[in-house]
Formats: sequence, C-alpha cells, structure tokens
Amino acid sequence: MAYRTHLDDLWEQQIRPDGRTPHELRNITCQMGIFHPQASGSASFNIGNTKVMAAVYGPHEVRSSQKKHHNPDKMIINCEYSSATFSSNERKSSTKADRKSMEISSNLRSVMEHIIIPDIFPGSQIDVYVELLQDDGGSYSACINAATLALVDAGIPIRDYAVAITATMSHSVCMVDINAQERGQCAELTIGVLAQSNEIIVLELANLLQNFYLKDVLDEGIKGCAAIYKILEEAVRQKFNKMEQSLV
Amino acid sequence: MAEVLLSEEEKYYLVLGVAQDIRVDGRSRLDYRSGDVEVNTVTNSHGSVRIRLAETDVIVAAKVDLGVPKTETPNQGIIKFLVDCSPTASPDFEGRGGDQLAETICRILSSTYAKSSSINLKSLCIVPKEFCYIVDVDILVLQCGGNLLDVIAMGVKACLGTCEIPRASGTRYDLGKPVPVFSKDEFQFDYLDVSKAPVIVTLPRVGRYFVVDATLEEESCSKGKLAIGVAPDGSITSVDKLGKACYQVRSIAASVQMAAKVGVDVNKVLSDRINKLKLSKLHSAKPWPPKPEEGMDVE
Amino acid sequence: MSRNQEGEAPLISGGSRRQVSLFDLRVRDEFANDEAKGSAPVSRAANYVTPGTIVTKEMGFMRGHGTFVNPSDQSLVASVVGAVERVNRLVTVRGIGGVYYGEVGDVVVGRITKVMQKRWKVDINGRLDGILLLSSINLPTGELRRRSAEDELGMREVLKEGDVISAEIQSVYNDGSLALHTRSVKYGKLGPGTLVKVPSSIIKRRKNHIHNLPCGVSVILGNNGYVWISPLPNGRMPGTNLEEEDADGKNTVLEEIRITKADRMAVARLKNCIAALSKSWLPIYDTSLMYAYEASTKYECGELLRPDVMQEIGELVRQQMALEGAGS
Repeated sequence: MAYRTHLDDLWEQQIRPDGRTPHELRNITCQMGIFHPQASGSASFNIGNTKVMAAVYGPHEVRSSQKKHHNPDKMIINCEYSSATFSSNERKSSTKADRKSMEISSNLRSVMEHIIIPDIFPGSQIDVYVELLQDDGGSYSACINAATLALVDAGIPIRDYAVAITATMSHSVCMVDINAQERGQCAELTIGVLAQSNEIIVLELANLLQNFYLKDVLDEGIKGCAAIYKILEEAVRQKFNKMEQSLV
Repeated sequence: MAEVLLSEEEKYYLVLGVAQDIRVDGRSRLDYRSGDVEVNTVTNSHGSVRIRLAETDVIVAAKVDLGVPKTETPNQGIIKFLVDCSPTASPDFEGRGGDQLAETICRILSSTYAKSSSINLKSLCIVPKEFCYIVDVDILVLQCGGNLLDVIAMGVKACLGTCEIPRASGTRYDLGKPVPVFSKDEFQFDYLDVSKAPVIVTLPRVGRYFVVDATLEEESCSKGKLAIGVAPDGSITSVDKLGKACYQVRSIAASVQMAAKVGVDVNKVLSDRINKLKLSKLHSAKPWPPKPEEGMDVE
Repeated sequence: MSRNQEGEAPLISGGSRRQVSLFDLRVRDEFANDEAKGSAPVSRAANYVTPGTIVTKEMGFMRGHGTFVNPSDQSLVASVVGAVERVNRLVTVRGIGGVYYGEVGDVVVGRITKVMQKRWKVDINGRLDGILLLSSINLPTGELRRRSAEDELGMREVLKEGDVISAEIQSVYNDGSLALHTRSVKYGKLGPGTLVKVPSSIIKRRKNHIHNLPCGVSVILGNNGYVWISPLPNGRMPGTNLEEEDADGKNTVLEEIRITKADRMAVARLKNCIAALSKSWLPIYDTSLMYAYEASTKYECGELLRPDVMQEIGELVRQQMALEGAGS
C-alpha cells in the first residue's frame, strides 16, 4: 500500500514535480555558429538544464589514417560523442571514452547517415563532434537536435531535420520531455523523427512500459518532436535573416 | 597542441614583425587579446566558469565532495585537477589525441595549487584527520586559439574564487567519532580565498623575443616556451620550460621579469572580475524567464 | 543594447607601444546572449526554404546545388537553408555559408599539403584538395618546354608543403576535385604576408580579386574564403616567376626583403578589418574593405580586436553600403 505524498496531490491536478503540465516542454534555447569561424558549423542546444554543444568540421579531404580502407566513391561520416566529466551529478573520474559513449557515438553516426544526403561528397569526410555539458534528462535527444543544427549551420546538404524528444506514460498520463528526476520513476522512450515526413529514425526505451501504452506514447513523442522542430527552424530562420540582410 | 602549418614566408613575416614589436594582428609583444568570463555555466556544480579569450574557449567546473585528508597533510583539504580536450576544438583531439596536452596542463596546475602559498588548503579541512573537502576541478577545452594554459589558469582561479563551499556549522559525535553537520539552508556557503592564487603567463619565444598571449600561428613559430606562475604581489610561484628551445640564463631572467610585470596586471583585472562575478551570483536568483534589466550593471 | 557588464577601461591606456600589458576581461551576465536574438527584423523571404521543404513537385526541372530528388514521389526537395533560384529549368538553392564548390575561373589562395609525383595537393577549403599539376605552373627559369624527370625530382624546391600560392581554377575533375593553374604573372608562390580565413560565401564575386590597395598593401580575395594580405605587390614572392621585370636570373632571397613598420601596421589593420566584416557577415570586396579601413582609423590597430569595436565597424560599413546602394 503506497503512502500518499504531496506529489500525488500534484499529480491529481496533472502537475509534474517540477511544475510543468504533462505536455509542456522545458525551456529551450539554441544558438548556431557558437564556434564560428573555427568550425565549419556549430550549435548549442539547451533544454532545461540539459546542455549540449556540437561542432561539424568539413567536408574535407579524407585524413590519411582512414585513407587505406577508404572507397573513393563513398563519403565518410565520422561522429564522436563525449560527455564532460562534470555533466552528471555523479562525477566521472576519467576522460576516457567508456562503452556507453562509444555506443552513443555510433548511434549518432547512424542518425547522421540517415539525414546527410548519401555520398553527396564522394571521397570526402565530415566530422561531427558532440559534447554533453550537463545532463538533466533527455541528453541523447538533445545531442541529436544539436548535431542537426550544427549540420545546417555548416551548410551540409541534408534530407530533413532529425529531431528527438523523450516521452513516457506515468499515472495514466502521457508526458513529454522527461527530466532526470522523473527518469528514475518511469519508463523513458526516446523518439527521433525526420521532421517533415514524421518517419521514426530513433527509438530507444529504458525501463518498463506496458505495451498497450506504446502507441499513445509514440504519438505524444511525435507531437513533441514537431514542437522541437518549430523551435529549431525558428533559430535557423533567424540566422538566415541576419545574414541575408548583409549579403546582397 | 594543434600545430598550424605555415610557409617559410609566413614565418619570416611573423618573426620579423615580432622583432619590430608589430605582431600580425597589430598588437605589441605585451598585449593581450580581449576576452570575457561568466559564471553558472553548469548548474549542477558548486562552481563553474566559462572563460573566452579571442578564440580560446574553456569551461572550468568544480564539484566539492567530502573525503578523508591525506595522511601527510591531515589539516588540509585536497584540490584535484582533470583536463579534457574536447574534439569540438579540433579533429586532432579525437579519441586520445588531446591526452598529452591535457596531461601537461594538469601537471602544471596540480603543482601550482599544491603549494599553501597559492591557496589556503587548511580552510578546506573540516575535522583534522577525519573529514575534509575534496574539490574536483574539471576543465573542458571547447576551442583552442592559442595561449591555452594561461586561459585555463585564469579560469581555474575564477572558478575556485566563485565556488560555493558548503559551510559546516559544527560537528556532532556519532559513536565517538566526530561527524560534520551541514545546515539545511543551501545559501550558507563560503568562498575560497584566491587572493594569493597565481596566474600563469606563458611566453613563447618567437625569434629572439618573447610574446604574451600568442596565437596558434605564433606558437607554431616558436620552438619553446616558458610558463611562469605569477602571484598577485608579483612573486614568481613556478617556472616551467616547455618545448625544445635552449635558453641563456639572462634571457630567462629577463623573461621572468617581464612575466612578473604582466602577471601583476592580469591578476589585478582578474581579481576585480571575480568580485564582480560573486556579486552577479548573489543577484542571480532571478525569476524565469529572464527579462533584460537596465539597473543590473554594477560598476 | 548589450546586457554585458563592461569591464573597466584598460589599466594603461594611450600611447601605441606600451611598456605594460593591456588586459581586458569582461564579465558576461549569465543570461546574456551576445547574438542579440530578435534584434534582426524577421523578413520572411518568399522563396526561403529549409532542408526537407519541397521546392516543386513538377517534373522536368534539373536539380542544382542545394536540392535533391525525393525517390518516393520524385519531387525536388531543398537540402540546405537558403533562397530558391530558378534559371530556366535549373533549380538551385542559394545557401548562405556552406561548402565551397568552386567554378572554373575562380581565383583561389591555397596551401600546399602534399608533394606527389608530377603534382601538388593544395588545401583550398573545398571538400577535396585541389590539384596543381607540374605542367600547370610556370617553370622558375621561364622556359616553355615539356617537364623532364629532373623537374619531377626538383618539385620540392619549387613548392613544398606549407607554401601558400595563388592560383586559378582551370577545370573540375569528374570526382569534383579542382585542377589549378598558375600560368600567369599574377599567380604563383606568395611572399611574406599573412593568411586570413573567412566563410567562402562572403567573398563577393567580382572581375578582379587581386587588389593593390592605396594604403600600400596588396590583398588577394580568394573565392574559396582564403584571403592573403601582404606588403608586396600582388602578394607574390618576387623572383619566382621570371616573366616579371627585373628578371636577372637570380631568385630573391627571403632575408633580403625589407618590410617597413608602416606597411606592417597597414597589413595588420586590414587583417582586423576583414575579421570584423566576416563577423558581421558582410560581403568582402575592395569597396567594403576600404570602408572598413577608413572606419577603423580612429582606433589603434590592436583595439580592433575587441568585439564591440568589430561590431561598430560592421555597423558603419553596413550603413555606408546602404547609402551607396540607395545613391546608385
């Protein structure tokens, strides 16, 4: 028999522990060109206290270390994810890439391969580097959003925006954008879609979710992605307007 | 460091310019580029600072933890450093590429702050031999535009100066052993005293002259550099020779003198900014979303 | 407009060659945003597209840069951010920033990255390195003949890794790499000076990209975004191309080149002006450079590195360009 807490009172009014309603996203700020002009493209994406920076170098000639196994008709997309040692509440004591980082790196690379027009620059290499500064839930989806913005900033031709968000079902209510506090208590479904076509390209589930809830959570996640897409697109448009005024 | 490839002609132009006291960007040999510093970059740390000097961009974050003092220094707390070169700074830092650079910087910082003259480690001790604070200072290099060591040293000083150390209001006894008691009020904290902490002035030798705040191109033209720690009162806390150059005694002496003068100025400006940052932190309990406030600028 | 807390005035001000350092560190308010979001009026250009937007569903259009064909419904979709341009049946999206593609006839500044058999690889800020064939350069002796085996062996003496050259794009290979040539007095190895990198899209396409400016410096505005500034005419290393006058069969020794302090200041000032124009995303060509140079004269050269000064110069140049646009 579970005891009632003040949080249960809030839940009855559909208010989450941090004061948001179930369909409300945390505050999002994103900025393009943060490392201009050293990197070809760069962007930062902050959602609540989750902060990610991404930098894109290239396209450029394939570096000699990769050249031996390189097929000159193909394009190499190189992606590395790293998290700062101070990013999580439990401090990471070494800067060496652990298995989790390597897995996220390769997942991010396949997302990039989904959206970058295949082999548009045969014989070239594009480097995408993502750095997680602070993790307060939804870090993987924030990485995808930051990497997409950085690619757009670099002017690399892409098929569509890749946007991602987390969603879950808790207390019989569908919620979107899970923060770290909520992550411990319910399932966390990370959904990534191609923004215009709504095709799902990323799907990851942590913890238990009843299967009859899955469709509702997916729908909610796709709606959340549409909201993120609007924000990203607005940032891109602002940058374009600023530059368009200067370029005649 | 990410080496920049230069032609003989470019090097000739650069080196001769340094000799004439007109560097490639018009600065004199002792001029710094401009930069800015901000706090509260990473809200889950006790102190965090983002410092930028031209293209160089570094985040320094400090987390405070409880621990046991080292046996050889039972009255002192511990400050540890970790440097991470992010690949966002350069594709050369991918994987383990930035490790060597990170090791060098880490070593210099550790030896600088191990001295009690730089920072009062006794203030980090709660109960001698039993409990002390361990401050883990993590440095993340986001962009490297030359003069990395100096910027990191400034960032570390600013971070330690604005780091909120929880205040232990007393000790209680648990099974005969003293245990620190922390107040429930999270606004009860102390700042570390960094008034004696040094900054590092790196002087690469370009041709026959030393320059301050070198760009990546200038560092590529120098065979070696001297990293000199300068305390706010002008005293020298450390001298490290990096690179492959050989020096005469008198040129080291001259450069140390130069670094002392420069370091005093840098320390003065930095201390002043750290005080401003502490004030801005006090004001930082603002409603969200933030609105622009005219009266916020405190001179 | 800025919400930053300005640092105090520099400790030692005035006088150009100071004895003590000038160190300026500002304090940024933690919520301040120096990109000044929302200050640019939102003009919704009618033909603005973003990646994934369908440009047209009609058949019969050729796809140019910045577009791709969606295989499922054969519609033409934008792949970069920019404005749609239709020229007859060719549809392109003119993106801001982005990759330097390179067209035949472009003037580029590049750095030699590799010396290979009978060719050099040149970094020209493109997606592939440019190729400079041994047969595409003027021989140092000025002869017109087939290249021999000795020439191949002596390639490193002509151009080695790290050297900076100015060249013209001769042709585009099938794989997209660019063939360069320096078969003209204007092009070749560049002498003492400095290289500045800016986004390739802000270099305005003009008839002339090599300028010998009245302030005493020469500047080469490479279409690829690499800009070379030098006190020497045409930026070139004298004596490396014997079709110039004063040819006496000897190569100029680098150490004999003298550069005055005034020239150095002019080069430095121009370099900082270019950085200021690049930061404000203003087009770079000879006129905008001169505007920026004039606007910068009230500051000392080293002060031009400050972000607020760079922004001010950008504003002044933008206003002057608007006046020029309105007047003409």
